[in-house]
Amino acid sequence: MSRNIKFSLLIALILLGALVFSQTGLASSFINAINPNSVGKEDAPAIVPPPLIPPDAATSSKQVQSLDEGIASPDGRPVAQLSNPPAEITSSIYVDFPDATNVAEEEPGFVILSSIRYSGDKGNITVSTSQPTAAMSSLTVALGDKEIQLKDGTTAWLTVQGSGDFPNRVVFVRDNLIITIAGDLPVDDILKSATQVIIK
Amino acid sequence: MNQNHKSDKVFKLLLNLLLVIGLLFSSVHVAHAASWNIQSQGDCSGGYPKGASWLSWSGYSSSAWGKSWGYLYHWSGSSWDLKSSGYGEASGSSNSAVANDSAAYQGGAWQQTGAHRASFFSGQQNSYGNTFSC
Repeated sequence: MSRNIKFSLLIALILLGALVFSQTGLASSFINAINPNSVGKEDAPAIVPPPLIPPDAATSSKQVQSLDEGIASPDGRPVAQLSNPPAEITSSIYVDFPDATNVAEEEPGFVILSSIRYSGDKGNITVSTSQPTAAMSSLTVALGDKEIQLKDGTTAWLTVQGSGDFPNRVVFVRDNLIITIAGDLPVDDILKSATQVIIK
Repeated sequence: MNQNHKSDKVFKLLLNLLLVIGLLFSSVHVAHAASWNIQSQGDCSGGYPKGASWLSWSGYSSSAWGKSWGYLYHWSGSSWDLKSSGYGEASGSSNSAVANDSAAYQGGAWQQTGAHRASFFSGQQNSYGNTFSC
């Protein structure tokens, strides 16, 4: 077999592998998030998701007893969490792993992989990990009201509602995951927490 | 004669001054009076989930326009699924662009969100309703 044929086969295998990888697993999902402030007046609208957090009444949360080794999922799914949450919001910590076995990928939506609620004297912060379904990943989405840069340079989207369940919310994308940090703490605290997120 | 001419000049000056002050006042007033508001909300009061997202405005020029898109989501137990969307537009100095949407009954939690565009603000403004149950 000539060197050229071997090289061509190697390239073909690499391309085939990339294709298979892109068609399987959660890592293939992506999101087309835009800056809502820079869209033109005649552009198509960007779809607005709800806060990407499970509704309170629907959760089957479990209390976290120790943060010594971080929070891991029972089935290996990624879990975004605060690397070193301050004591003022760790009086109680609850984690929720919604059952993601029957997700309708052909329907536009957002799958919630995990959600952690930190609570304490200072207030509440929820950190959730989500992904768009295959049908949603081809659409344009507004993940927040304003595009910002976190202190670590990450592009994020900030929403300040001022009321409701999650008055302040920051969303960013990392490793094809949508990370949401929301709560009733001041915006500066939410922004600071967003720079302390790790994914386990 | 000369005295009369001088009085006329002063009178015209005062008149112009009053006119300028009047115009200034009226433009400030119009700018101050113009306002807009966005909102989304949903409910299950009719036995099925329905939502509305609207942009209302007043005090702009007669060529002003606004558009609203509404999105109705259902919590499946593991995902927020987009079940329905709606669109509405309107124009005029004062008006409302309302997007209505609804879906077949499904129990559980629902949320309505909205996207809004207008001639009197730049970019897209978003609105979020509270979670409601069916």
